[in-house]
Amino acid sequence: MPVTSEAIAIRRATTVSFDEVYAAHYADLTVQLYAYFGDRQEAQDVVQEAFCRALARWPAVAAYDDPVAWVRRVAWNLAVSKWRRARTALSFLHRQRADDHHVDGPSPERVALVTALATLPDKQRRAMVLHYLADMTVAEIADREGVAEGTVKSWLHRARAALAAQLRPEPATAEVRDV
Amino acid sequence: MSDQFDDLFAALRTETIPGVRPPGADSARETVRRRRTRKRVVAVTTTALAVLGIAGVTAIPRLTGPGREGASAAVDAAERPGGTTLAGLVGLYSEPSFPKVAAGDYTVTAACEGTGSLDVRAVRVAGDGTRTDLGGQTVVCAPDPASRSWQFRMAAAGDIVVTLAGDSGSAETAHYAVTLSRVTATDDTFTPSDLTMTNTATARDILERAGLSAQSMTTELIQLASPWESTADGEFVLRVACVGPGSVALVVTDNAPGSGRSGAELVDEKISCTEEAIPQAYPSHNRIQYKAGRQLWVTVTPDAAARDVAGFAYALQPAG
Repeated sequence: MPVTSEAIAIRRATTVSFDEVYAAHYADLTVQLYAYFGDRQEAQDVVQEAFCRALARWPAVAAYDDPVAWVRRVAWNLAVSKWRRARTALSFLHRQRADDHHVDGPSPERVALVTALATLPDKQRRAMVLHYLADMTVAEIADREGVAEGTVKSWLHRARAALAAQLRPEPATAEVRDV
Repeated sequence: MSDQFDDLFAALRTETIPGVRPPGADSARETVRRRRTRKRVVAVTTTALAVLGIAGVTAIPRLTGPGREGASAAVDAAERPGGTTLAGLVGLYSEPSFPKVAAGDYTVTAACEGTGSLDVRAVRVAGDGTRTDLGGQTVVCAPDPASRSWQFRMAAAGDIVVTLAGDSGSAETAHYAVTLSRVTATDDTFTPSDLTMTNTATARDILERAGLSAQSMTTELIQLASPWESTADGEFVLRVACVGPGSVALVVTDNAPGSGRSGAELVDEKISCTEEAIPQAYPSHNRIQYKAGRQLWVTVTPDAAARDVAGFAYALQPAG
């Protein structure tokens, strides 16, 4: 008996579990928001909040074609909303600072990348993160941001140029010593 | 350099992930459980205060239905702070009711525990027996059910009958719960959802990219209104964008300043929303004669599909 796309969708909706989605995507989403914020704890807080919201309505979210896209969208909505960010950070600070273990961070080169990203305008930075870390195409980013594909290409072009200028190694200079 | 960005970001991902310490799915469950508990505490407190006559904001008596004891998951999903819940066994058709409901804005929240599906509709029954449909939803029955809700306005007091039509999967096996609650200023339903926030921003962007100065409205309420005025006389063109499912009823009235929005209707249209964010303004032939100093009120009433999901934006620009 042939399996129709509808049957596949129904099967997926009944088998996808919150724990599986959480385990598979929490870290990746955190990396994306870390690259955007430059603050890993804040990124973790926002992603956790997005998953909490997903869990509260999981039967509906799980029935979507792409539940992860829903979580990602909510996480980014939280990320770009200042009052939400403040509220989220505050509530999580109270609960979780005691459990905050020290962990090694990325190397200085990666920190330099995050620092350079922080100098970009919001939209350019978001486009870079969505493109290179969320693996979204130009068309998908354009759809998410509600702009034309050409606009996204322009953001990416300008962002790459700005990052390249900041991350380019300093030209070697002759050292002069008095002898 | 651009060729190296794939490697740079891949390395960032590789080096960052080992340092990420997920609080865990159980922590998320605990957060959700705590939030739900807090909501129930609010509900119990509100009910207790109402019984004591301290906060008698609603004239709805609290009722239970036969078979409520078998509907605990449905009741959990459908209960709302300050609301009254009817619960029972799903049949092929039944009409439980909320008698003597005062005028005002209400939310109906329904859930179904079991299998199959259940069609739920609210109907206002006037004193002379006239029935007015107040909207409805089809609820999917499940062991851990999700609730569906919609809002309506009671212009005058009356009985509300809830029509319940089960299907072959739910009739005589599933349990329903339906809650009627007043919409109040502190109700969660006044907090716009993430979806309507996103879609509203998109709708606004659509108009602004067309060079228009846009105003936007989320759709979490049964009706939303926004005033507009200009210092310039003349003919204006109304352009709108609605992103998301369903449709909204758009009414524009012309009013003297400070007189509210009960003036002459200039526009009364149904606007279909679109799921796709189209990067262009919708064409509109609505031309409005505007006299400087007057106040135009733009009122939007989302339908059940659009409510708290769709986003709306409008702009008025001088014609020509």
